Amino acid sequence: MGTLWQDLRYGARMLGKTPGFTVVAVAVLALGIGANTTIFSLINGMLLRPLVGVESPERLAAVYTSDFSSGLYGTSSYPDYISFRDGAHAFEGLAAYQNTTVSLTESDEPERLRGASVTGNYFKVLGVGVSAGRTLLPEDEVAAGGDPVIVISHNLWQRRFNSEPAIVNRTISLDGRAHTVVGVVAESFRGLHIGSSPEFWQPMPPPPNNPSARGNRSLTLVGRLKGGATIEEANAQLTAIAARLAQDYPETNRGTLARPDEPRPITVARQTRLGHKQRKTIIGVSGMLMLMVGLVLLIACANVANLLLARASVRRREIAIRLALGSGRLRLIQQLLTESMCLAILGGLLGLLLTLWTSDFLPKFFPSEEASGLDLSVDWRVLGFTLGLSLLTGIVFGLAPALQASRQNLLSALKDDTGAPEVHGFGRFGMRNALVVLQVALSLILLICAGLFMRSLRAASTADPGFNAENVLLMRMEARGVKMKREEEEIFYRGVQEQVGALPGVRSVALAYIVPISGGGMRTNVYVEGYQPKPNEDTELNTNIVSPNYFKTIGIPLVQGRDFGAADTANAPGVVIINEEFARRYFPGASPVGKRLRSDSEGPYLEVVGVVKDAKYRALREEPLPFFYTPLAQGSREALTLFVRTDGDPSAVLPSVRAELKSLNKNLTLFQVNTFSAHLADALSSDTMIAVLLSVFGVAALLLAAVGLYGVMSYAVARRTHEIGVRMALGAQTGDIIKLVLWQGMILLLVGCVVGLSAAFALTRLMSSLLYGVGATDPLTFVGITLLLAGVATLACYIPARRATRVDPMVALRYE
Amino acid sequence: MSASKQPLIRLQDVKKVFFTDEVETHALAGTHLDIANGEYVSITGPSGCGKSTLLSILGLLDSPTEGKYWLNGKLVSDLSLSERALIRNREVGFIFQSFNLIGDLTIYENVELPLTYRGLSSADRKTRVTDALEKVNMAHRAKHLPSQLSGGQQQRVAVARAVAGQPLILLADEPTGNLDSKNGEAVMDLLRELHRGGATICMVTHDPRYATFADRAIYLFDGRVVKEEMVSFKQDEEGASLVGTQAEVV
Ligand SMILES: Nc1ncnc2c1ncn2[C@@H]1O[C@H](COP(=O)(O)OP(=O)(O)O)[C@@H](O)[C@H]1O
Ligand SMILES: [Mg+2]
Repeated sequence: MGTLWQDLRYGARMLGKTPGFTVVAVAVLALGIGANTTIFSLINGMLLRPLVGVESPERLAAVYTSDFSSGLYGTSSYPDYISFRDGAHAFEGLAAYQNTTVSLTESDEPERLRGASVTGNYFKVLGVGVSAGRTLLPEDEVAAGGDPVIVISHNLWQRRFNSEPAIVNRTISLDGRAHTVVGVVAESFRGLHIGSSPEFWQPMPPPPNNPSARGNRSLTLVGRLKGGATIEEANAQLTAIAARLAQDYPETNRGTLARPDEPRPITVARQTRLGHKQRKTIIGVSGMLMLMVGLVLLIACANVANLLLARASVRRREIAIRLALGSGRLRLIQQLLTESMCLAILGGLLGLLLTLWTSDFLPKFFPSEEASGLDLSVDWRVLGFTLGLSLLTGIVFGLAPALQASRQNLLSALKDDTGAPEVHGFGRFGMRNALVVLQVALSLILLICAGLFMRSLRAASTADPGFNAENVLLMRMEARGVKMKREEEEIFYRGVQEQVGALPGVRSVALAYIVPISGGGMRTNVYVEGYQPKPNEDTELNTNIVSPNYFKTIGIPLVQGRDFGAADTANAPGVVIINEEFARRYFPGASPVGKRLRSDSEGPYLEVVGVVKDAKYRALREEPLPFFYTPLAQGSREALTLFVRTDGDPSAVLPSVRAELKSLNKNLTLFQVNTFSAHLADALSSDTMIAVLLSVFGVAALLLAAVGLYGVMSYAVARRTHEIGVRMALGAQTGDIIKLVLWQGMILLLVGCVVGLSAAFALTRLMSSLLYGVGATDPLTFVGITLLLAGVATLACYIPARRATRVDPMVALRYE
Repeated sequence: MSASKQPLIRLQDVKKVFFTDEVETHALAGTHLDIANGEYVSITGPSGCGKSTLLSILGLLDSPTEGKYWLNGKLVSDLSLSERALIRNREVGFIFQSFNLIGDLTIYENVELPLTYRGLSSADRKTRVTDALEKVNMAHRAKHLPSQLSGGQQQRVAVARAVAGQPLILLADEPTGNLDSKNGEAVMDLLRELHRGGATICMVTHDPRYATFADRAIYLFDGRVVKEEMVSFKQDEEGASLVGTQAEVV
């Protein structure tokens, strides 16, 4: 301990004596460590951070019933939930919840709130505290029908009710109906999922008990394991229950697309803040990002190692004296490593500051709704990571120079006062060259990855989505409270289209249930007349409900048949419009118009009246999907989105559209008001983040490599001053000297590029699944980025080369 | 020396002042010097009297603070850096006290180096390098590195490098300074041979014995030529004898 303290003090003094070196090294390390800490804080926030505001989150487990065709992680039905709750003894309690929305109709301007219907034991199972009043209780479920009660989030309480304690037992109007607020949930609880912080919780009334209820799977389940019980036990118990249910209720509980004759699988997993699919994507992306910042850190290490090597040659005498005085080699290495550690820790601290800044900044990449509950702040995990990484970094960059310094020849160092030993071949200079080659190679890899992502992002954002999103206003609207009758609804929607369509600056207006590129959609089983599905063929197809003029409004060309019209009412014969992909798949070689399909094996047939061009539906990166549209009047929904195509800037007409809608129905809640273009940009937000992050890392790597190259070339020029002087005396021109120095740099660059390009070829293949519209070995990117790197590197060599030409041969020769 | 014939080198009132830390050093304080084609001139004087400075100016490594310098009839005292490099490369051959061979290059490449700056074809370079190395008797070591050679051998290579370009003048700054007397004499013999072959040589030395190898000895003191001696050197059976003619002090 005593020696460590001594080493530390001595190390600090040495660093203080060379402030220039210390500042550069610490800054380089801070960049490298900060990049890692930033990505780690992102991973921490999304994957590692436990749920907050609940008791012992490690004992919470999510329970999934397999979907029919889209994977294991599906929702469950209420009767199944009851069977699970009462039968699985591994759980202390099992709760169910379902996201829902209401309109807060307290003021003139109704506000749409996101919340959840939860079983009465929800808060008890989670162990959530309150800021005021109480949480929901099982008794509330029964009362739900009569005098509805509700608990609200701390945020809503602050935002809309000024944190008044009197909120408890007050009634507020939701969807036009009085609800009693019985409590405010503790501030720390923001729901169970990133991207959806509920603002209220209402008790879920048990649904009427009918045979089909078991098949209606829309509840998410969360349970608390008994102390000592494991996920596996819970899984086994629930699987046994599911097997029994499959026997008792084969209609609803047996079979998935893949295994039609087996019980629906049940999966119990640790409760996480991200959905399963999202989690998988995030793990893939963050793994890649972590790899990239790892490369940045390696480059930084190579850089600092090079600085240390240069310094070591200056400190040769000091080290030789220490060795001569009997300091053991190990002791010396320890001393030198302590110095490296000091540097690394300083770099780590500065890197942490960088992360404090980025943790505020990164969530801004996400659409605000998705980022809600995303907490990237620095916690003990981030601190621990930074500390561990800093120490590791210190060893990585410090070890080689320390070993080399301790191995030097004592006598020659002591005799030689100039401190400029002649070393040839793979000596000190060889190691420095190798480090520069490494830096060039790594930064090339990083830059190529960044380049590919940039191109991918560009391809995704400029790819033709099949519609024209420019100058389109989107506005979701919901008429809650006073439930409209079917006919009233039709009149209202027609009114909306006519009145809003007549506003100045508005070209056309349409309504639709689903906004394209929202990540999700609506799927339904489709039976095409005369088409025999292959065994195990997925007959669930994507669909949307749209008003007349929808295609015209968002610019999807009609290629055959007709658009929906006023005549396609609820009582008129059922009609659909399909896309070209649908036509290709189900009616190859035939004209689709007049063909029939139905979305139920029993129901009435719907006639295809038109074919539209393919467009993107769920995501910009998807392959063409078979898709069909049904008319609004034949498939009405509660919440629809209004699409308004405008002559100019869509936001200019927003006030008049709002006013017009208000005049049509004062109970209307408007939300998710956005332009279509902004909506598309949101869809690319995580791609944008990846591309921006990678570019930042790539540029950082490029700069670090350039600085490294510059350092080595400067060192080489300094070392060759005398030689350059001789050459000039012999008549070398400026150009000859520049060529001489550049050539040396170019060899390093060339070797670095060859290594980097080969590695990049191998590596980028791994991320081809994350790319869109650009190959993992896209030649343009590879060539372009290599040229960019070569340009910057040449500049980095040119400066020392230029300096070399200013060597005064007189002075150089005088140093004989 | 006929006055009508233009000298190869003419310095006229050349002054060189160094400014360091507010100290002015008058390394050359108005030097006049003519060197004829084919002449062998030695420069001697105490340390710090300006010998190397004079040689650097002659070799266009440095330019005079004042005064004029004609080389082969051309005024070269205020040329640009690159024009001076060109003349150094073509018209001047340097021989340094510490040889100044480049450690990473072979003997062959060292001799070839000034020729590469001249843009000669590699075949041309090859004949010249081989000739030069043969002249100094070092052809057999062409593939070696300087560190593998003795000092005397290195200096012979340096001489080969200086003559390979067939310069107008050879400038040698204490070429024997780093050599023992035996090797030193060998290098002096080599220079004398070159002179017999027609080379113009200007050599700085502080060894009076070697000074007498030249046609003319110039004595420098405090940046001025204080004495010029014509030396007629004969070597007969009895040894070296000197017949000196006193010239007036310039
Ligand atoms: N580059 C320089 N800067 C400053 N002073 C110099 C420089 N070169 C030479 N001198 C000074 O000029 C004087 C002559 O130097 P030099 O020509 O090297 O002498 P010599 O070769 O006769 O020993 C000395 O006093 C020396 O210190
Ligand atoms: Mg000298």
